[in-house]
Amino acid sequence: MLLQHMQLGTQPQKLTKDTTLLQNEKCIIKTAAGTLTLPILVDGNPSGHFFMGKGEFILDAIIETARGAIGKPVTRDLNRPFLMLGENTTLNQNLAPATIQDLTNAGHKGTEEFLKKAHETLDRFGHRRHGRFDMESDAHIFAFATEHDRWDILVAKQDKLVYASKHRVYVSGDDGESVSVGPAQILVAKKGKTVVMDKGNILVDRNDH
Amino acid sequence: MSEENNLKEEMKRLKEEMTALKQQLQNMTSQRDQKRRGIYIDVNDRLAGVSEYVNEVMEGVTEGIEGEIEKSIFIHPHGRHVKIIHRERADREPSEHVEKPDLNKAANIMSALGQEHRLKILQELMTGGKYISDLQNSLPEITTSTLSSHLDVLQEAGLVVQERVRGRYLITIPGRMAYKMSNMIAKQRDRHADTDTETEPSQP
Repeated sequence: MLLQHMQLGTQPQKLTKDTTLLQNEKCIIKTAAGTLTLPILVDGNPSGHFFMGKGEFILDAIIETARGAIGKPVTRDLNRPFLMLGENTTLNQNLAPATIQDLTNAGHKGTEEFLKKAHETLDRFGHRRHGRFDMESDAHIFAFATEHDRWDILVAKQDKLVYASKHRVYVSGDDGESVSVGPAQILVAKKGKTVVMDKGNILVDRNDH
Repeated sequence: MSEENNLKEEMKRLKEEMTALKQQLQNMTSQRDQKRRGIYIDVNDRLAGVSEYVNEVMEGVTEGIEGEIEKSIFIHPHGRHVKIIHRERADREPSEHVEKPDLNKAANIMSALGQEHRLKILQELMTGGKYISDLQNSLPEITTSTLSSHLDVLQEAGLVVQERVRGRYLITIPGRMAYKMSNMIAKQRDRHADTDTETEPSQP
């Protein structure tokens, strides 16, 4: 599917209960009841959702090495719009059509204004983003709008994930393979071996004995 | 007649012994002279020692070469040990080299270490990440509320980090270092205490 072909549905929906959108060993994304959503269509097919409301994103961007743990959890209140590409059956079960009252309770004057805001957000996400992607059934892509009109991206498939924000890139793969790239430190860990690069130092730890 | 033969035999044996002693004396003199010239090598007795010495020298040279090669690709020759390479920047001002210690931070860390239960928690975490229930099981002498309080202090000091998703507690790199350092200090203290006791003059 092509990113440029992403379109929003026209019928606003709301979450009837708190819903976990993603949970694995490293990451959890929850949305609160009352959050407004719109379906995302790619080439006319339902491919994800647009969210505007409340939620929480937690990522344990921690890497365990033989010399101790490095990194810390990343937590974010999801009070700005975000997108999710991928299927989620629980989410679909917890959705109901949003009423005018639901929209006004969330601070919107009406359906039109909500749709306008949603389209503007999606346009900003699609701006200068061109490409093709093929979604696997158990994979998800999340894009969180930040205060600087940037997007933090999370790609997850089962326990594997990639997170990219302005200040950090974190990758967690199979068998504890991890990569963390921050402003002052780069860390690569694989099968008990660790390489840490920071200001003026390179540290190699081969814990293969 | 037989007595005469016996005497002859005895004389012959004594002569052989004298010849052997003379030869031995000659050898000793020769060795002493060589020793004075600094080239003495007792081939019969010391050959194994020389061989070991040569091997040691060769091993040292080989290790040195390997070390230099490994250093160039940032890997320590002994596997799991760590090589830290400091790159000095020529354009840096000398004053930047001298980092002033953050005593307040150091005091906070030392304060976090200054409690036996907290050291026990760190000791438990040295073997890997633990859930609070694991810590409760392995440290039954600490009540649940006290355990949580200690973990908060250790987290505040950056010695422990908690996973938010799974909830496990992990010891950080500074945590491991701090734990090892506290043990080293304790051992050193004991060692010096023993030395002081030994050298203390006896009371009249």
